[in-house]
Amino acid sequence: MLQPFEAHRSGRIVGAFTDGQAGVLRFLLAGQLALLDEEDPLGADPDPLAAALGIADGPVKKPDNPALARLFPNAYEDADDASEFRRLTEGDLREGKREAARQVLGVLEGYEPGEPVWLDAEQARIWLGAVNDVRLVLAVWLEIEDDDDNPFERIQPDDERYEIVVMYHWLGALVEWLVEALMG
Amino acid sequence: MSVAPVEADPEVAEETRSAPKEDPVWVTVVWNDPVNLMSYVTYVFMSYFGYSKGKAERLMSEVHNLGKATVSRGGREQMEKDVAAMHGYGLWATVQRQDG
Repeated sequence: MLQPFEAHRSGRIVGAFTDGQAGVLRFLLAGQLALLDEEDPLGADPDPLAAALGIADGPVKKPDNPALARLFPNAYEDADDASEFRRLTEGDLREGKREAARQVLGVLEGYEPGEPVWLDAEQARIWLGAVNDVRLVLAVWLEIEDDDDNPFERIQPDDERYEIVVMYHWLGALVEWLVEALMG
Repeated sequence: MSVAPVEADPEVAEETRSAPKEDPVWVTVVWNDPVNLMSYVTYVFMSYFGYSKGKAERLMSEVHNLGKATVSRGGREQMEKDVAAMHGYGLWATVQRQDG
């Protein structure tokens, strides 16, 4: 079995994936990019200045999609403060997450199975953030709401969500490997 | 002999104006969630705040065991920056008044 991501003596981090693993990551990241375009506070065709500043021109509410609400939680208990915080920050936060997903997807497009992926520390941080964000979204679909909840115990192989459970666990392993490689 | 007029020190005056004693202190609170891994949360505290591994692990344990931890304190603007950064990492964080 290939072990993605380990620290190399060159100081860089090296990973390798099977064809199936690379395909799963591409599928999940493409889905993540589509998700990040939903309910965008800057709108589909934002004013160029607003877009450049990442600031929406009106109040911004918590997204209806629970996965987006998890990625962009309320920063304040007070509804007006929370809305104002979203107006000022959510555009930039979305763009940061999109950019990370795009970068990882860029590396995986045309990827040959087993080919080493070399990452410097900054690239590894980007991969880690992108993979962790996808994992957060899968957890929303799996309705994981408790520290002791192991979805393998309640979702059986004949359940249509079983594949998501497998992907969720594998992404957890990727996160662990990347953190370990980064922190040495 | 005359005494030179005493000049007000602009820096002192500025400091007094911008930091009155009653200025509220704000905090960044990170909340427990069942998904982010303990190793990842520790990494975030080390990576973003520059905390030592020991301090980052203590804060991570506090989040995990008590449900939340105050991870930074200061002016409101800085706390908003810290909370936005935590959301960037995928952690669940809020801005609060220290006494609130």
